[in-house]
Amino acid sequence: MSESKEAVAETPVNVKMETQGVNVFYGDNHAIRNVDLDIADRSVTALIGPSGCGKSTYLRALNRMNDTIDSCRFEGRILLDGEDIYGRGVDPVEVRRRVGMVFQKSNPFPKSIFDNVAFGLRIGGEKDKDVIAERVEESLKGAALWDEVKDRLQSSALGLSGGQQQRLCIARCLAVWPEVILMDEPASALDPIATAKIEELIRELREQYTIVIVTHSMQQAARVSDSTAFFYMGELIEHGKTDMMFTRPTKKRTEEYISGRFG
Amino acid sequence: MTEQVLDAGEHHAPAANSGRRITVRPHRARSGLASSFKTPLWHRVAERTIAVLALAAIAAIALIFIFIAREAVPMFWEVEFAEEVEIRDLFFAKEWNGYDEPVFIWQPVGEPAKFNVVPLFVGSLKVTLLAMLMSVPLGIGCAMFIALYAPRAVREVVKPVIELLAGIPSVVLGFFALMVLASWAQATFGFHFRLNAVVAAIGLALTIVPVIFTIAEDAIQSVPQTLNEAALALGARKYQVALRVVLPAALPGIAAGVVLGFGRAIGETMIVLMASGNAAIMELFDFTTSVRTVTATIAAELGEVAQGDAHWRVLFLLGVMLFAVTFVLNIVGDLAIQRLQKKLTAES
Repeated sequence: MSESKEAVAETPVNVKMETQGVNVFYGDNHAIRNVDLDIADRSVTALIGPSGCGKSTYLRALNRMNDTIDSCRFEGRILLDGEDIYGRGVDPVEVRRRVGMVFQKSNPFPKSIFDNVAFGLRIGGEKDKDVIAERVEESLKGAALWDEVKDRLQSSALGLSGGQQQRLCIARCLAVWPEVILMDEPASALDPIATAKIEELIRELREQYTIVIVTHSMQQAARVSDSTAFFYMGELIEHGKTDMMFTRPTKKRTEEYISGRFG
Repeated sequence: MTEQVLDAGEHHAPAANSGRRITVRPHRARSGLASSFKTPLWHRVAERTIAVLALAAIAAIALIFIFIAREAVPMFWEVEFAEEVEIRDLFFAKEWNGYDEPVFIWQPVGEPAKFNVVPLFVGSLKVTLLAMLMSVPLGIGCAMFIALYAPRAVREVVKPVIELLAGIPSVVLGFFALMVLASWAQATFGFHFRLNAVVAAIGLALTIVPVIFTIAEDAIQSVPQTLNEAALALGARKYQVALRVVLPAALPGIAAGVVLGFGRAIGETMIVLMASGNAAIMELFDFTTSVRTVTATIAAELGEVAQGDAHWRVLFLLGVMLFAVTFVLNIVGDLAIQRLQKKLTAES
């Protein structure tokens, strides 16, 4: 684990989220083993690794989504701007308002496009219609969807294509001003063109947001991320700058996975 | 498909795949003269059987309607019927001898016999609406609590128990309403009449709550977990997820439960027969008076009338009308559910 820290230390950046000695258990299954990982501010961190390696579980630990699973147990500390999100008296709802999430399968609500994006604002207590309308437009523009839907904001979100639905989910997430956006294989169910749009969007969002993305595609990790973390069997094997990871990985396991020898 | 791919790959299969066994496409037996694209006989038989069974169910309902209507319809031309009852008096108020205003009266053993169906339908609707007012919020609330909030242990006990309630014979519930509930309600609310619409409606609600609960609970359970997660990830609290995401998404299913509950309520006989007081009082808004429902009237009187006389025909007319009302309400309910569903899935 020491290598990964050195790799990050080479180029000093602001750390947005710090993970310290994180263990996650599902019942008796020790899914995440003692992971230490720093996530740099305003950058894209890719989590890669074979299926079942724990990368999604780790991702869901970052906004306390695992709390919704009864058998799930957490140990360790995750700091967001230096504050432990698993600390005593921390409300997971408040954590999730700052750490948003986009899921593998697009999951728009069966409501209109407008209502989907406005949902987060409304449950947050925003009543002013003008503020909501303005924020919906900003968010849809931020997710590069505005031009495609501006004439049919009131029609059902389920009428959009798969790629549009996923960008709508990103817009919905942006609307509540998150600081960190977690993405769980956001393009895995999309065709190459829709995938390219999502990837372009991720690169744009990096200017303003801290993004952590789980991906199965190493090409995708190479294209969109600044740093990459390789998980294997619930452990963080290696973490470093993406170009270094893909050209000169320091661990044998990483090299084997990246060169396609297993996974 | 697989075989074809492997066949093609035979010549330039990569070394890594050389260990895999290549299967040869089995020879297809051609059956005699028939085209090889024909549907096999067994599949055709199976499909026909299913179609016949489905039609039989529809035919049964149609036949029931026809046989009920056959007993009622002769009233429109029979001389014997006309001598005893005027058709107009079945539906409109009439100033009978000894009354100083036109009234709606159901008095089949009176002299002359008075068969006005309006007070019976008023009774049925009063009891049904009151029962629905009690059981819809209770059933849906209970379903939401069990599906979304209750810990698993509670759920596993409460759900079967409520569903068991649906299995209690209605005569038992009627007895309970008649003996226990009525006395309790009178002591608590100070009713003038011991058996009244409220008591009957409470008894009725006992049978409808499980119907609405079960269907609503299933509808809520079948809302995709991904929607829950989407809302939680946006910082929704649990009650917000329940009220703003799960409930709207489950609404078509819940509405189906309500429609079914309504059908059950308006058709329920034994509980209202026992607990409603059975006085056909034409009173629209006072729910503390006794009522006589359509179903209870048919059940109580049909066994004691002479086949084919005026009273007999009117009772069958009640049956036809009840059938029609239920049928129409079901269709309206179905249309409403379809519209809801359309709103929830694609398109504007």
